[in-house]
Amino acid sequence: MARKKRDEIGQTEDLDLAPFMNLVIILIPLLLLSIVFMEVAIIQVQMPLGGSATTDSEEIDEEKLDLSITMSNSGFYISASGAILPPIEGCPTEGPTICVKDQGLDMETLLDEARQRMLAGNLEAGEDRMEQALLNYNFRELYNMLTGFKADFPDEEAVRLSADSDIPFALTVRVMDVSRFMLEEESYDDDEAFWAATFQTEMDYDEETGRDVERPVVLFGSPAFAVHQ
Amino acid sequence: MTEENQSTGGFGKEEEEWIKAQRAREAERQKRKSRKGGGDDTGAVNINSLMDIMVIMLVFLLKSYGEEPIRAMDEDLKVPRSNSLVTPEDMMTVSVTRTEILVNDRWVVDVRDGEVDPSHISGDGDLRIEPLLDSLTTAVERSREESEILGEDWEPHITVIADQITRHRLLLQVLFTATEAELSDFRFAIIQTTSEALGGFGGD
Repeated sequence: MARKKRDEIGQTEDLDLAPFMNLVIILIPLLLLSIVFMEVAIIQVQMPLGGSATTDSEEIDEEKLDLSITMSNSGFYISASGAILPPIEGCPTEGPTICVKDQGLDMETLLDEARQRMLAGNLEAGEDRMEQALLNYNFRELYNMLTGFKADFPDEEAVRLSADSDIPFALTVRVMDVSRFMLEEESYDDDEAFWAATFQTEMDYDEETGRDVERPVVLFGSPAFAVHQ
Repeated sequence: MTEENQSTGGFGKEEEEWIKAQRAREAERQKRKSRKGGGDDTGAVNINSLMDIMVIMLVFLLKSYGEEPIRAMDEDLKVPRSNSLVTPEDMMTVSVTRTEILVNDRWVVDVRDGEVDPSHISGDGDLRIEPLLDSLTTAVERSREESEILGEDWEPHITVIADQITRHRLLLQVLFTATEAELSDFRFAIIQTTSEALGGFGGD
């Protein structure tokens, strides 16, 4: 035994890094794959305890805006001060306040196809169809209308969202995106200019740092959920 | 190798001598070979710098892996895109994927074709998902205990990680069930993007 030890000491060799290298080489692609190269953020939403699920039992105050947006396959129904607003110019008279851009597009089938494709594992094809359906909604007119309300009710920030049961979550999120902040202009005539616009900002005192910070101006930044029945 | 192993097994002196001689000869041969090859240094690739890079990458990747508070992408889950800027925090989560509902990454109930089986649903307007209510109540109890031990105020926060195609009806059922478990402050997980990309202009 003693002799064997001496032999081993005699063979001075470099540290054998091969097993470690193997480990590192396997770990790196594994971790690279698991990384999502996307920034995840959140949207804050309140829902009163017990659920505001059923429509308010409170009496609707005439002075209050009580804004609500209902998403359907044919467009947005907007109600303020307790009444559903009539369709805007260019939309069919018996329909939503803001109709979809292309009335001929069968939204229901499109969304259904998107869902089926995603379930079948074809995320890309599903997303294409969903995106096509989402882009058919007229968010620009929605924004224009919301800024109009904001001018009359500058202190209101609440908006109630409801939707038909098959409306995808992505549309709800996009409506919240559009209604969250004021853009540079109060109304837009062009889709490209509307989407390219940056948020209007104001200086606001930040309690944590004790300094003035630039913050986007809130339009209707407090969404709540309700059921459309 | 086999020779060495055997030598420990107890050989006679003669055999050991022979093994030693064999080794010496082998070493000689090796030396001659390397001399012929023209210098020792060119023989092996120097992987030291590569190793350095690898180790740094490994540390960086491990760090970013541990930091991510929300998993927004999975085989059957992709949260919608939005231009919201609020950063996520670590808190209780409920995930609504295309095939199941999970609370804190633990399976609760299956989702089939965007709906929960009607046998699991009860309540006014069919909004309560029974198995979800049970597991949320348990999770709330546990998180209350945790905050009590830590001496913090418990807040009714929950992060909702819902797939982009989730039906509004299912989302409402999940939210309603959460309010029944005393959770009222929801944070929807989203993937950050620009307004242009949302409007179909410009790249992703």
